[in-house]
Amino acid sequence: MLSVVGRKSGSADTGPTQALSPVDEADLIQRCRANERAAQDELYQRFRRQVAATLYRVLGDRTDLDDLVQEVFVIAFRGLATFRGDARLSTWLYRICVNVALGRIRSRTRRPPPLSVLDLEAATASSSETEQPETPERALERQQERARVYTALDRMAPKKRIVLYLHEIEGLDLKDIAYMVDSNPVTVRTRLFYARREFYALLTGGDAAEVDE
Amino acid sequence: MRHVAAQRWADLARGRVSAGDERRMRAHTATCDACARVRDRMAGVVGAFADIAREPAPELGWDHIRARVYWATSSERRERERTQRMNAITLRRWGRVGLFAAPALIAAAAALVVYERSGSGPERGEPPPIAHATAPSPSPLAPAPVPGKPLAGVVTLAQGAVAIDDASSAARVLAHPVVAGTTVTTTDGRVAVQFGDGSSFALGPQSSLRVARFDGGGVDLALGGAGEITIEVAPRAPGQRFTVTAGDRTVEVRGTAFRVARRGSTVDVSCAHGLVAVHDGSGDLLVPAGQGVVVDDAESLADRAARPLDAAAIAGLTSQIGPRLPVWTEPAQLYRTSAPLAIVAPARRAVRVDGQIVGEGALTLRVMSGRHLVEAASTGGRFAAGEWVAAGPGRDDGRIDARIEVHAAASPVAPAPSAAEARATRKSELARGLDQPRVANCLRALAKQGIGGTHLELELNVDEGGAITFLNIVDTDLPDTMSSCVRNAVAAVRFPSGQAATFRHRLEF
Repeated sequence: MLSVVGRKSGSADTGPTQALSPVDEADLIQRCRANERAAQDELYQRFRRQVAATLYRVLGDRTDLDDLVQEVFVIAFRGLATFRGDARLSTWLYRICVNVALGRIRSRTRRPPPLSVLDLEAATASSSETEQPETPERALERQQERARVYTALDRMAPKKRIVLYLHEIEGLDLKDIAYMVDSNPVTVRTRLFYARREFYALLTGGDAAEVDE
Repeated sequence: MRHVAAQRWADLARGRVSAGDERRMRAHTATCDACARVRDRMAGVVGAFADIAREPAPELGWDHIRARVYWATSSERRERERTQRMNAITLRRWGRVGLFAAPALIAAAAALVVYERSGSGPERGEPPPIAHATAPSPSPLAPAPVPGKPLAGVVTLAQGAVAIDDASSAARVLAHPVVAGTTVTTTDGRVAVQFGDGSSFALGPQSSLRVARFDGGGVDLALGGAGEITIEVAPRAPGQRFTVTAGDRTVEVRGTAFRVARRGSTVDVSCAHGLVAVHDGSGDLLVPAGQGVVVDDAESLADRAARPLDAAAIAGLTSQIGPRLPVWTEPAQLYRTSAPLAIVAPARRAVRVDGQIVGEGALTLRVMSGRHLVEAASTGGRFAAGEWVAAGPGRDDGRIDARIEVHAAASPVAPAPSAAEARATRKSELARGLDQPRVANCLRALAKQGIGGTHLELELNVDEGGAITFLNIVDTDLPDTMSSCVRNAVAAVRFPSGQAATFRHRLEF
């Protein structure tokens, strides 16, 4: 059974609720299939932050994020009837998020909004939670670095962007990525090779043109 | 000199290279400033990756999203179940046809075989004889509807002063089943009744209604001296009649959503979709979807013709039907699994439950057990943050199960801009949002030939939500393909929410 999200960074955002055991998870799915509203509420409460965080990280901005979260849960409740249970529920939801985000990337033409004062304040606030307090300058640098990463991602083809994101940022292996994007590992490996080359070239602006791979 | 690829520096920053490679790469940077710069750069990028991976979920309107998800999924489910029921009815009908047609087909085939074997086939040029088959016996179900079991309706909404038989408090009205012989009366309020998953009626203010017949064979609702009833009917059982009597006239349902209003000596019939027939002694008048008719008692139906309704009237018709419970079983079970919910809201402010507008001001409605999001609109018509209320399983004593008071904040927004200001705002939004490179791409063939001075004038309406409701080309000297290409570019503009406006906009190229 695939269990990707539980051991990855996404688990940090599932909130105070404890992870479900496979038995409890199967019971929750069964009750959701029977259209039990309390069960659907529980599933939503349990996974809403994970879904929102995943979409936010993949896309890099929060435009229409509530609509996308709604879309993910509508697809999930609709698809639970055919969910075979070959992956954990969190992984399956993560996969839906990836595909919804992919659709969003394909449809949008706008670039992420420029840095705003609110973003800088948020960056400063989040840094205060780390062990070593950051200066506002350092927080701004990190925020700019993050913006550069998303700018480079925005210039890539959607399929390449998704595999690169899943590998480089989420740290998934080829098999897990293949499950997420409904492809096979060999194709993913090839796509990842070209995606990495393009992404880092975009970031370096073509420095060191003659390179050893 | 061969350099180290940027992605290798990123791998190094994450410890994904072997010790030997790391030594060689570090030795290379001792003599190569370019690679040293890339190495430092990639260390920052890898740090950004870690920041992104730790990014927490932004705070969203979780309750609103949940209500929208619930509404979307339950609407889909109800639609699916309705389609399945309709398919089942169709199959049963065809099954009956097959049952009675099969003997006829067998007899016809047998007659044909006997005829062929007897050698008395038709001479060339003669018309073939007609094979006579035994006529099927008449269907025991088709000619006359068999009175089915009695129906029972459940009151889903009561607002203001309403009474059902001797029950007059909102709680008792909601617990009172509507059966044959029931009388429903309203003074300044309204009441909505659901019977079956897809059928409802809503009685407007100053109305009285007697349920003359209410069973599987037919439904007959008699409107009193005055009043207004709006009805939506799911596909009826074969042979089932559904009529509304208003004065001397009878309105027979052949479709799904319509309204009958009795005002003084006139009867007003409006049909939102489907078809209804108005009967009296002088004849019949059909009122199709999107049309209505007003007939005075002194007039003959033959003198009247249905007239088209405007869009607002049709929208008003469909909004009259009250909330509908997503799951319909038997009334007794529904009473156990649902509960009355009393909502106290300021007068004339729209009230929304789980994303659906159910009425205005204080009202009591029946909801399924569980949590519900209740919102009241502000004076500006916007729904502020709502409140959740938990409705428990129903009780039989008719007492209100849950009560919620929602306060609609005074409109925080400034007075609405004038129409001229709204048009100016929308025009500037259009100018800002129009994808100019896309428009230039539409016109590149003309640009190549050096042709300029062309124009395209559009008329469009943008609603309050920012959606374009219509977009027409009023005038242009561009070829069709180019003008429609530019029109599509305009249609792709995303307007923010704001004042609705209809305006013309001229684009000069």
